[in-house]
Formats: sequence, C-alpha cells, structure tokens
Amino acid sequence: MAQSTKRIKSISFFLLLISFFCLLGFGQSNQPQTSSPLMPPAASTISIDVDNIYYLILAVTSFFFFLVVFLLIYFIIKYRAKKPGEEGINFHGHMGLEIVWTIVPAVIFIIIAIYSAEILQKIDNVPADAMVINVTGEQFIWHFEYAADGVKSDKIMHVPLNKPIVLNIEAKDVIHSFWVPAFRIKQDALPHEQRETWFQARLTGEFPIRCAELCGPGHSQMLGTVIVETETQFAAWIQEEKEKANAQENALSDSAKRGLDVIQHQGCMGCHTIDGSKLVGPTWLGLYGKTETLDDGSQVKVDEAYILESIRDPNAKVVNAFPAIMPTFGPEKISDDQIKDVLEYIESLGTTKSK
Amino acid sequence: MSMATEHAEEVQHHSHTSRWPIWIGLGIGAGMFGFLFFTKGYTPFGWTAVLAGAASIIYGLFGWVRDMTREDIHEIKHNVKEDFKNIGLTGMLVFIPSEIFLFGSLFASYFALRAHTPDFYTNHGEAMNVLASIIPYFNTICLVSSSFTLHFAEHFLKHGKQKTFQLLLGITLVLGFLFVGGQAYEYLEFIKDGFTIKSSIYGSIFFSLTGLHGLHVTGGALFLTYIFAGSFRSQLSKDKHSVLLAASVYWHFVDVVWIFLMMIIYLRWI
Amino acid sequence: MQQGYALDNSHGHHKLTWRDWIFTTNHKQIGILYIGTAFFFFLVGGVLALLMRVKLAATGTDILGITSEKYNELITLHGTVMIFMWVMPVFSGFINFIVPLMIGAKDMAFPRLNALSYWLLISGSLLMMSGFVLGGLPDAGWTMYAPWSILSPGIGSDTWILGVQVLGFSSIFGGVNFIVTILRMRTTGMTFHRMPLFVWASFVTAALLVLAIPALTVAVFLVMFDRHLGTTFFSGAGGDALLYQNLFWFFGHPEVYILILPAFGIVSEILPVFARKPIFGYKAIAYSSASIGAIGFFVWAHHMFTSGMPASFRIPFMVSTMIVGVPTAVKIFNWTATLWRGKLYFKAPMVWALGFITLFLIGGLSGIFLASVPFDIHVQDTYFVVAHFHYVLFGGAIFGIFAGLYFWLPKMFGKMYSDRMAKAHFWLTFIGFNMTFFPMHQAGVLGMARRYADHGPEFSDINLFMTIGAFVMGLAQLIFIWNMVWMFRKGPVAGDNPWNSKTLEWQLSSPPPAENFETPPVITEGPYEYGLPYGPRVAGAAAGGGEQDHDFDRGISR
Repeated sequence: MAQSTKRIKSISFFLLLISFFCLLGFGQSNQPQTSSPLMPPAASTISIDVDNIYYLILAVTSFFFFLVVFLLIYFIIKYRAKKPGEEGINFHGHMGLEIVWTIVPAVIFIIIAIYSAEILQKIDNVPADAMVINVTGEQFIWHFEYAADGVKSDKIMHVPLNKPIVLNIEAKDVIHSFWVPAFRIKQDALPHEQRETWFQARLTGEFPIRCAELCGPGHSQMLGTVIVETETQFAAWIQEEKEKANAQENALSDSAKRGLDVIQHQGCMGCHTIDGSKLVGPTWLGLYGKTETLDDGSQVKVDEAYILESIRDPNAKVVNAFPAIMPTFGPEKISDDQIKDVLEYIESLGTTKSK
Repeated sequence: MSMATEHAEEVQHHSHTSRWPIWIGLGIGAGMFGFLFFTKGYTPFGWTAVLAGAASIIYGLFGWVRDMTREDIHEIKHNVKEDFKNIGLTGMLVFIPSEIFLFGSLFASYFALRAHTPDFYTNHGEAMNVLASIIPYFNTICLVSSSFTLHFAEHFLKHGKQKTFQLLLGITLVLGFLFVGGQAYEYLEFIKDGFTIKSSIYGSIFFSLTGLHGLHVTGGALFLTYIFAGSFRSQLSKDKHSVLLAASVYWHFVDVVWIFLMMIIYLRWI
Repeated sequence: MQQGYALDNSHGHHKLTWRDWIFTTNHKQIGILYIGTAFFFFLVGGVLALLMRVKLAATGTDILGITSEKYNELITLHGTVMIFMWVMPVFSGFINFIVPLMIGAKDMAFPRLNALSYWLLISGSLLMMSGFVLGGLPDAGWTMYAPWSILSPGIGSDTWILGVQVLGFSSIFGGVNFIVTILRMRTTGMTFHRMPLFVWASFVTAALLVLAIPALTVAVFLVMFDRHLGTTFFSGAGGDALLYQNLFWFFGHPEVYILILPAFGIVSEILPVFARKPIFGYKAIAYSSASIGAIGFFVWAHHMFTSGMPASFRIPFMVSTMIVGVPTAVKIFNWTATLWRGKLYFKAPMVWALGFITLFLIGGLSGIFLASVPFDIHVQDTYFVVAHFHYVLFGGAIFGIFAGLYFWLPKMFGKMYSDRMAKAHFWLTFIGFNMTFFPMHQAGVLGMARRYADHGPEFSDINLFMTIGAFVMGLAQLIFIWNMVWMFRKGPVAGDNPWNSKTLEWQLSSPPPAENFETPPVITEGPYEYGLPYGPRVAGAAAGGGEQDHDFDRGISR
C-alpha cells in the first residue's frame, strides 16, 4: 500500500512539474522583442494576450494529456494478462467518479472561456482615434488605400509604430482572408461587404501578410508585407508616394491616362506589374516589342495584335512559365477604343527593340 | 423474386436479392451524368443519359412496387419473417424530421436573405405582390381540405367501409392534382409578368421554396395514386394499411409546410 | 472477397455468384460491399494525399506536373473522398453488418432500401470522380465555399455538387433504415440499456445523418442555381456569401460527429472484450454519445470565427463548443478506467483501440485551443487546424475503423489474419501518423497557412519531414493489403468466437447464416458481463443451427 502511495506521489509530482514548465511561457512574452520559438514575433499589442491564452491552454491540456497517457501506460503494464484465460473483475463503474470527471473539465472549460471572452472584448474594442486603411482583396493581390492621404499601394502595407490602425477589409471577387501572423489578426474579406479589424504595432520591422481563405489557383501567391516604421519614416513615405503619383500622372498622354483608368478599373495590376517584378502574369515594363517564348516553345513578338489577342482570348498564347489563368475580357468589359488607350499606356512604360 | 412469391410456409427460404435497387440507384446516377454532359456541351450524350436514367428509374420503381404488392397479397415480408406492424409508418416518421430540416434550411435562407437585402420584396425595382391573383387562396383551400378528406378516408377504411374510403381517397387525389395544376398556372403567369427565379433575390427564393414544395406535393400525390390503384385489387384491409398510414402522414406534413409557406412568403405575416 | 463466403450455413456452403452480390438485399453482403468500396476509395484518397505531400516537399516547383491549380484539385478531392467515400461508407458498412446481428434481428428494416443506399453510393462516387474522364475537377476545397465554387470555371464544381447530392440521398436513406432497425427490430429483452455501445453510437450517427444532410442539400442546390440559373444567392452584388457558410457548417459540424461517433462505439466494444471487464460507466458513455450528437447542432459557427459574422455570436458559440468537450472528456476517462483491474490481452484490435485513445486525446485537446476565439483567430485556416482534424479523423476515425476491421474480420469471413502483420501495420501507421501530423500544430502556429500549394523557405525542412512521415504511413497500408491477401488465401479458420466475446454477433457461426438467428434470442443481461467469478467461458458454442441450448451463463437463451 505504502509503495503505491509513493508511486502516486511521484507521478503527481511529475505532472505538476510538466504543467509548471508549460506555465512558464505564460506572461513571458510581456517582455519586448521576445522571440519565442513557439510563436511568430509578437508584433502587435494584442498578440501578447493571445499568446497568454495559448500558454494557459497548453499548460492545462498538457497536464491532462500526460495524466491520461500515464494512466494508460501504468494500466497496460500492471494489468496485462499473464496467462491465457484470466478474467478481470466484474465492475461496472462509479457514480462519484463520473460526477467528478464531468464537473472538473466543465469548470476548467468555463475558466478558459471566461478568460478568452475577456481578451476577445479587448480585440473587439476598436479605438476611436485610429488611422484608417482600406484593404481590398482580389485574385491574387492585396490593395491598400490610406484613407486620410489618398495614397494607394499594392502588396506592401506601411504602418506607423504604436498607433492604432483600423483596417476596412473587403473583396472584389471571391472570399479572401487578411492574416498577419505577427499581429495575430485575421479577418475574411467578403465580396461587396466591409468588415473591420484593428491592431497597434509594437515592433518595427517587416512582417508577412498571407491570404487565409482558398481563393483560386494563385491562393498561395497572395502574399504581402507589412512594414512597421517610426511615425516620421511613415510620413516621409506617404509624402514620397504622393509625389510619385503626381509625376507619373503628368508624364502620361491623355490616351494613356484613360488607359490607366481602364487598367485600374479592371484590376489588371493584380497580376501584372509596371516595375519589372514578377506576379502571376508578365510585367508590362518594357514589354512592348519584346520577343517572348510561349508554352509550346514557339516565339512571338509582343505587338499590338498580340496584346489585343491576349486581352480578348488570354489563353490562346501563354508565355512560358506563366499559368493560363487570366480571365477573358470581351468587348462588353473593355471596348476597342479602350484597348487602344491601354496599348498607349503599356507602350508608355518603355519598349524593347528586338530583331 | 421467384422465391418470394412461393407459399408462405416456405418462408425460411426467403429471397435475399432484388433486382430493382441497382436499377434505381444507377439510374439516378445516369440522369445526373446527363446533366454534366449538358454543361460540357455534349448535348446528344446528355439526352441519352437522362432518358436512359429516367427509364431505368421507372423500370426499377415499377418492379419494386410490383414485388411489394405481391408480398402484401401473399402476406410475406421480403426477407423478414416477422411482420413488424406498421414498420413503414415508423420509417416515414423517422424520415419526416429530415424533411423538416430540409424545408427549415430553406426557410432559414429566406430569412437570412431578407435581412441581408434592402428592398427585398421588389422585382426589378417594382414592389412585388405575389397575392395579386386568387390562385394561392385556391391552392390553400385545395390542400387543406385534402388533408381532411384523407383523414376521413383512413377513418372509413378502419371501419371497413371500402367504397367510402375509395371515394374520399379519390377526392383527395383530385384536390392534390388541382393544387399542382394551380401552381403550374401561377408560375406561368409570373413568368409572363417577368417575375422569375433570376429576376430578384425574392424571386430566387420564392421559386426555390415553392418549387421544392410543389415537388413534394407531386411525389405525395403519386404515392396516393399507387394506393388508390391498389385499393381496387383489395390489398388494403381493415387492419393492414401501413402504407396508407405512411402516405397520409407525409401528406399532412406537406400540407403543414404549405401553411407556413402561405404565412411567410405569400402573406408575409412573419 | 466472394471467395468462400457462405450465404447460408444451414443449407450447405452455397457459393455466392456475382448476381447474388449485385442484387443482394442481405445486410451482411451489403455491409461487405460498403466496406470493400470504401476501402478502395481510402487508397484513392491516400494516393491523392501522398501527391499533395510530394508537392509540398518540393515547394516552388511543379514536381510531377502538380501546378497550383492541380494542387487545389488534389486537396478538394482528398477531403471529399476521405469524408464522403471512405469514412462515411465504411461506417455504413460496419453498421449494416454488425447492428442487426448485435440486436438479434434477421436483417435491416428495409432491405431493398438498404441496397438502394449502396447503389446510390456507387452513383455518387462515379459522379465525384467523373472529372478525371470528362475533364474538370473540383478545386474549391471540400467546403466548396461560395462564391469561388460558383465562379470557378469548368465543370469541376458541378461534378462535386451532383456527386455529394447523390451521396447525401444515400446517407439519408441509410440513416432512416438504421434508426428504424434499431427502434423496431431489437429482439426480446434487448432494452435500450442492454444494447451494445456500438448500437448506441450507430443510432446517434443515423439521427445526425437524417437531420444534418438536408442543410447541405439546400446549400449545394443553391450553388447550382447560382451557377446555372443566374440566381445570386451567394454571389454577385446582392449575394450573401456567409449564408452558404452557415448552411454548410450546420451540416458540417454534425458531419464531424457522424465521422467519429461510430469509432467511439467500436472502441467501446473492443476494450471490454480484451480487458475482460465490463465497460466502465456504460450509461455515461451511451448518454455522452447522445449529448455530443445533440450539442453538435449548436456549435457550427465555431468554423466561422474569422468569417465576418456578427461579433456578438462568437462568445455563445465558444461556450457551446467548450460544452461539447465535456462529454468527450467523460468518454476518454471511462475508456481509461475500463482498463483498471482488467486482464489485458494485446491482440491487434486492442492495440489499435489503445492507439485510438491516445491520438483522439490529442485531437480532442487541440480542439480546446480552437474553441478559444482569440487564439482561433490566429490559427484559423492554418496547419494547426489541419493537425487537429487529422488527429480526430485519422487518429480517431481511421484508427477506430482498423480496430473494428481487425475485430470483426474473423466474423465477416470466418478466417483469421496475421496478428503480427496487423501490429506491424499499427506501429508503422502510428509512427508515420505522428511524424506527419504532430509538427503541423507548430507549423500552423508559426504561420503556415492551409491549402497553400507553395510555402516559404522557412517551412521547407518541416514539410520534408512531414512528407517522409506520410510515406511511412503509406507503406504501412501495404502491410494491411498484404495481410488481407494472406488471410483470404491462407488464413486459418477463425472459429465462431475467437475473442471470447459476449455480444450477440459472436454467438453465431462465422460467417453468420443468411438469416442470422433461427429463433430470436432472448436477452437477460447487459452486453459486457465479463469477469464473473466462475471464470472464463469456452468460446464457439454452436449457433444458428437451431438446437435448443440454454446457456444462462452467456446471458442468452435460445
């Protein structure tokens, strides 16, 4: 008897040790610049609270996991049949135990639920003086519009440090989901309906944005970056963007300007860039006049006819290594006149001389 | 099958096979394949598959019903020696909750869409009144009174009044088919006025709900027709009318759904 | 499978012809057809999963021609096949074969409807797979979220919708049949509280089938209308995309319990037999199944915490989700306590059942993380969720299925498989499973999103490791197949009751005669009266033959 009490004591000691170990994580991420291997950087104010929930539940569940596994292993060793034909005892259960192991989990769940609800309130409580960014998801890119300044950006979102920021999230086509793991925020972007979420960054740096709702073939490429910078850096960036937009606008002919309108309206820049970087589709920088290799190995010179065909029937001739996923734009979407404007704009991005 | 029609003393040699389920099961699949062919643009294949599917479903159903009739007449049960009294009725009572959840889901969609859509009750910007004609009231009278006639038909069968039973069942059938006809007429009128399944959200859910209900009424009426036809061959007796009980529970259920339809999407009381 | 299977022992060993199989209305043959078909699709779904793992290990390349479009088709079909064409039908097969035997019935309540359910499964599966032939596979995930499922070009979504519709009819008819059978066809003395726990689980499962599937029917019909009739239920300017999710998960969460409850039942059958001790807390286990089924209808929105549904709904759904954890915990404690002071025999079914408890425990505990809304917001649609539901559906449902197969195969075919191979199958699956799915928890927390064809370089090592684990698991299934081949060709005769079990199905010959019980047995006690003072009983008393023996010891007199 004494021996089994001793064994029970040592098992309980071990279990307590493990749960204590798990609880160590609890509250630890209050220190700034934490880099726990268990979690992405805690770059927003609420991420500390969310991590605390994680560590709390981890402690509780680890305790129960090891409790049950210990019992299983202990019973497996102790009560294995030693010779054929042995029978156990005819014992059907114990009401008291049933009540205990119904109530104990129930109480623990209630505690976790209350704690989670408190933190959820914090998450749902949007500060009144927050800066507004409109986020639009589209196959397969994120667009950002800084409401106060009228500045726009794609894929990369700049935000100032230590300032509450509200995101009004919406989608153009199908459901996307705006997720910044480092901020522990995620909000689905619904077509034609706005939903909001907010955060306040507490660390500077670059943090990935991911789409977290299956939205089509390019889902895993629907990535982005949040750049958290100091307030002065952020203000400088806004100023720079404003000037850039003005300069670009002034350099264009009227026709090219109309073309740019069409392009923005149709969302072409979701897949095509104008700065030479590669998205789902080929970049337009220096596209005009270039000779491209097609999927079947043949070559084609990018001229007016080819661009026209690639808008009206995009999958007829697909450039090598790009997926054939561009939607068709018939005359009801872009008229022939508008295509001329679009061509003008693409040409304005520079032409390539080829043989 | 041949075994099942042998004498009742031979019941330990029950048949454990039936040809009909596979015809119906694969027939439904073939019909669905027809639809896929249509969407793919293979129209001739589509028609072939749909017609073949329909034919095999009908063949299977007739065979199935014929076997059930024979077993009823010879008082043997397919495969099961004991006659579990009214087991078909139990089956129906278990199936009805599934139907309640089916209509419930569609009604829930109706409420969700109504809450989600401003100007829900308009069609192309004009206020839509589905009560403009007398047909919904006429349909309500048909269906509600048919529930009563069916109930009394059952009552007379229990008291052995075969002729009265047949008369009342016949009236029920007429009322049921009047309802289906009324609804078809109503649909045609709406379509003529430009109120269709795609003209507005209200139109979409209106036609989905009433269409689903109409299909159920048609199914129930065919079920009752089968019983009506069988009653002339005297397979329904005073204490053996499990099939009628099942059919009548179903019919009353379809009637109750109509009352909800009337209150919610026609009269807009809720 | 037909080999040597006897239709009716009392009338000589009449071999079944192919006609007997395709026209059969006998619950035992239909059960075997279900299990065989389902196992075929298990292999299909498994190959799809391995292809996914290959793609993920070679991130950034189109290895084996798997582009990101193809990857989306793989995930969609993998989920659909495993849920609708493997776990659901295999459990229908078990319920078909076992439940009528367990309750002392001759067959199901509606034998022909039963056959129809099976052939609808075949029709639905063919439709689901038809994209391979017609060109155009579904690519919107097994959840078919609108509006992507509506806008997705090609006939992929149509094959999925029509297929799942037909599979749904099959399940509803099956569910009605199971319920009526259990309600009406129990033998004398088989009260609800004397029913084996597998029958309880089957009953709750059938109720969920009947009540949950209609919501899916409505949801996918409306998607169909949006695709082909020009309506705008879920898409377009006026569409309500969240309505689809509400309808889908109103079906989808009970569906999860449809997939796991029969496994609970199987484990509750196996533990008492191999612990030689009555199940601990019979009523607690039975009622917890029922309450899991009932509460399961009130938790659906926990799949939608980040969907943009009204924020005020999140706390009630968090609480109901926590509540559903209580009966689940009760089950785990009762199973563990069943081992206490038993005499444990580690045959293959017992080993698989113990593996089930361990893995399901992890799946259950990770569910608590997901119930907590703030943490769920972070890990929703990540590999944490993938890990969670694989621990529940693979570690739970599939380990339960193999436990049940190894338990009942001797009854189904009268032959015994190799216990050593079955254990090798277990250990390889167990190790491969944990290698594949345990790291997913951490990967998800660190930011690895679900349903991504390509991941960043930071996840390369962990993905390679998981892929190796997946192949270990795949290898393990080859052992199972070889074991089955060995059993059918050379397996020794199993005997009527090789496990010395007390439930009714073991009191018959193996395989049982066509109509099970010549005269209905009379039940006088519960199903798990093991460990009585007068010691173990000899197995294999003649059954189904009709001789009148009164074996009060067994609690059955016939």
